[in-house]
Amino acid sequence: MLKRKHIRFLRLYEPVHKRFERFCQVRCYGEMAPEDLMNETLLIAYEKIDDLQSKEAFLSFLCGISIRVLANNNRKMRPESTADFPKEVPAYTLTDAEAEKHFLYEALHMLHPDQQEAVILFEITGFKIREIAEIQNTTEDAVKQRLKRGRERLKEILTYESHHQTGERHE
Amino acid sequence: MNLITKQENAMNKDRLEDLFQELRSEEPKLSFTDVSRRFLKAQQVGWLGVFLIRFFRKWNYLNWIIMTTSIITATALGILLSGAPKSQTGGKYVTGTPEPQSTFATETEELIEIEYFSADSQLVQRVRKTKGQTQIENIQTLPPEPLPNAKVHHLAPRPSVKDSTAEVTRDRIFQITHNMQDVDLQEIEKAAKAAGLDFHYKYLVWKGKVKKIEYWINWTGPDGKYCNYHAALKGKFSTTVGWTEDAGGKAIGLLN
Repeated sequence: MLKRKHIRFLRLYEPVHKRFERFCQVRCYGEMAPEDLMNETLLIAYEKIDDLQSKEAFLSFLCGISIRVLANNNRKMRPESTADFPKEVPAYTLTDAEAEKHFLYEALHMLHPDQQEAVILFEITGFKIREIAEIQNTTEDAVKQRLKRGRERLKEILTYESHHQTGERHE
Repeated sequence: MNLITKQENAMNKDRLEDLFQELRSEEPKLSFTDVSRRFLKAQQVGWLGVFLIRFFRKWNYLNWIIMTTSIITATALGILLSGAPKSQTGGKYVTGTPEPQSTFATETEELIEIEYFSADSQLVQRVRKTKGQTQIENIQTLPPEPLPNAKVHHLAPRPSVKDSTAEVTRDRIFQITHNMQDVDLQEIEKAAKAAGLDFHYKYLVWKGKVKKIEYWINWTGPDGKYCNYHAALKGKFSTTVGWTEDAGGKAIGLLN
């Protein structure tokens, strides 16, 4: 039988599930199974729910926990090298759209972790800069800078990638 | 070096925006029902269950080999260490040939380990005494010959006379126990020096009693053979050191 606390917690979680799932899918791409990250985050969040100041902050609360979980996980396990980008993906297994997404995920993982987090939280999860600053425990200016540099780097990577894919050279 | 033109840049910006837009509008792969079911299940099995599930999901042959090897190594080390002596208690001849009939025995009342050495190195008997249990391990099989005339006295050298070939000899035997004091040890040292033996020691005293002692006896016999004896004892112990003296008071054989 479900406890009341469980029900309350899941009611709180339901509206943010979509955004949180998206964040986990992108953030832990190639590092950890998203379902594990989500589950572990939810378990911790459930235990620390009393620390939550307002219901509106629940998503950033979850994201903050998942960032720490992922960092701990990466500390325990040797992080996989991303230097060999682009990874070989059998072309026949992906559609164009899927391939683009795959390369975007890969490109995101080539960013500095802070930039990567800022870009994911802003562009994919839809947080405001102020909220990201709170999650990352930094200033709004720093977040803006991370977003700017992150986007520039992503463009560079994806440009190279598109030329690489089509066999063009740009020297 | 990558040279990105303005046109390319604009194109990539759009492309990037489109990709982000696609990701934002994408339906979740993991439904809320799945996630909540998983969460509730994890709540039931607890943290250990979650850990085990994750652990076995990531299991592969390499992990299996590493873990098995580690366990075997740790077990083997544990067995070896538990079988090894906690401290070296007993004697060990380092160089030279010891005197015949030179035997050494240490006894501990409760403690750990005793080693029993024959002087001719033919018997090494290791006795391990724990409370109420005695375990004897013969490393070599020949038993020690009994001492013909050795008697143990507590710090009271008693002369015994041998009249075998009209040559007068006497045995001097001292007992070393955990209850003795530094004065007693100094007395042994003095007597040994007088007999031409190099007896030296170091010890740890706690509450006025010797709790740990390590001693060495170096001696060159009449035939020029050099004998070096070393023993270390701790806890509750009682052992003897002794030698046979000739009429002139010089050692002619070790009794340890």
